[in-house]
Amino acid sequence: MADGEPAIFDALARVPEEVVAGPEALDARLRDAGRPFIIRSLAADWPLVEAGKRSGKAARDYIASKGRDRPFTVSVGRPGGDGRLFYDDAMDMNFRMAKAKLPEIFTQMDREEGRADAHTIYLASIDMRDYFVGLHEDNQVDMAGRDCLASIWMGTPTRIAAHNDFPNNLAICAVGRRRFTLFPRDQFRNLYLGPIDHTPAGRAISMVDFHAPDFERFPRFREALDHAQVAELEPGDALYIPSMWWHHVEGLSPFNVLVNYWWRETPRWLGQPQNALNHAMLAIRDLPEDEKRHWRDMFDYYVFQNSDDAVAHIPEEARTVLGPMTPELASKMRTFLLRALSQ
Amino acid sequence: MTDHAVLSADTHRSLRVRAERGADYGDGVMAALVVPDEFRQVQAHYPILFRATPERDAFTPLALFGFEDGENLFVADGRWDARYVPLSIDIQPFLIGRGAADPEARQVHIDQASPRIADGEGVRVFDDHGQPTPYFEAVVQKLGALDAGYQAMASFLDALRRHDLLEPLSIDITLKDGSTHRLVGFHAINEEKLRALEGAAVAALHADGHLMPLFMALASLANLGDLIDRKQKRMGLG
Repeated sequence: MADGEPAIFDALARVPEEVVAGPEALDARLRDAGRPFIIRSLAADWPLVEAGKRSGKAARDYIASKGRDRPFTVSVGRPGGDGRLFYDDAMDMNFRMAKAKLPEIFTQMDREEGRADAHTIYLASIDMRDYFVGLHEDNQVDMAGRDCLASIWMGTPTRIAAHNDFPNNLAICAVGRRRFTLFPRDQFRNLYLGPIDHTPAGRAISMVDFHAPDFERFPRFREALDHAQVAELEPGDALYIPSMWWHHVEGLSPFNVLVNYWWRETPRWLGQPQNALNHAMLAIRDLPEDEKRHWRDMFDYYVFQNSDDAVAHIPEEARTVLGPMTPELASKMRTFLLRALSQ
Repeated sequence: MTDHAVLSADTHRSLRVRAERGADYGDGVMAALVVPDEFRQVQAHYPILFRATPERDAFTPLALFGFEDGENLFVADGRWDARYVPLSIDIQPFLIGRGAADPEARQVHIDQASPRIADGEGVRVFDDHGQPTPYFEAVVQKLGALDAGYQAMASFLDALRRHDLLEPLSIDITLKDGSTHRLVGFHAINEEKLRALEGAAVAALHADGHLMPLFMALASLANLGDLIDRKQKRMGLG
């Protein structure tokens, strides 16, 4: 990838850079952030970033010294591959999942780094508190009390197809160079998403190969590129990705580490919207057109408009889930749905 | 409704508490919180399940007494039909409170709205000299055990989460009359994942005191059969 750098990225818009002075400014900025932005060197003083600037091996040694003695889930691609973790021609995964202790995984990286027949090795979305002792504590951004999931992503050069995630995301490039290509939420039509129930990492991904886009198969991808923004990150740089924005992610160095924080601004006891969409595919998509129109109407009325008209005629104390949602009502609704789904 | 007050020998000198069992006294519940420290005693009688809090930020371990809201198949005729009653039930109508001045200090509080508080009936809490009665001394000991167990529970639940040892459980029960009942929304220990834990993880769980309660919770599921029998008996299907 370093040689023969794919051309599409040069022509794309850049994610804007911002200067954020201190944790309070960051907190305020994240509060009203509707669009992605880069903060350079936000994590420049992390021990992990400093170790990574010495060498990939130094970063691995530092990380391993904080690791818990437990098996880690690791994706292993084929030797000599280009780092793209994706489907193969038969729509199976082109990598396998394994469990191994961190020192074993890192020893293999040490041995293979720089070799043409190196395996693609990727440790994705590892919970920093559960799998390490002190790594999160010594390398963290002050998130102003947000209830975040802090994860670490480590690997050889990799290329992760464009996908999106439900929570908001602050991603810190800790070791190596990383390139994110972002798309606004509404570009999903132009990204040619793959299956929703058979995915590399739980989310539907774009079928487009960004390094060699097949514009005959994926003509609308040109339009997606008109809306794309690229973020090239050096060690210590941070990128904010709003909820549900699409992102294609590349680790460009021999060893790459990303730390990210996921959080939602809405209560965690609310349901997952993707589950609602999946169930609608099961329950509504294959109905006759007139019935589908009725259900669209109902969704509009109860979910998207959700005006007083829907409940004004019901005594307030009897509105239950039609009224404002509370943890207790959500819990009841969940049990109600669980029961209905398991009939 | 609850009405909590700090218990004191002066204010509550003549207080009497009904110690017998019954739905009228608040025992008509299908489940109650249990702490890992008591799992050994709990698993001798009740299934131990886990339920997410409404806020979805934690799990609560529960002893199961019935299959629907308000159903306690262990309570009948003023008594509780098992040799062990979970601490969180047994201490009622008392509670653990925290001192206003020193949050580390523990106080005994009482729920003054509890139906267990009787006028002139029940067991004395203090004697005429303001000394705690043997009944109340036993309650204080149980409150202490519950408090200690509750403090230790966070670490146990964190270990369950870290090793992903809980799985959703849905139980279908068909009674002899053909009626079916379904229990949803609970979690239980994932036996497969527990068995697959490697030596170092098991050793760490053991060192932290979590291994025994884990297996106790797993073993407790054998009591589901007993609970179903109780249900049939109560419905006259015995």
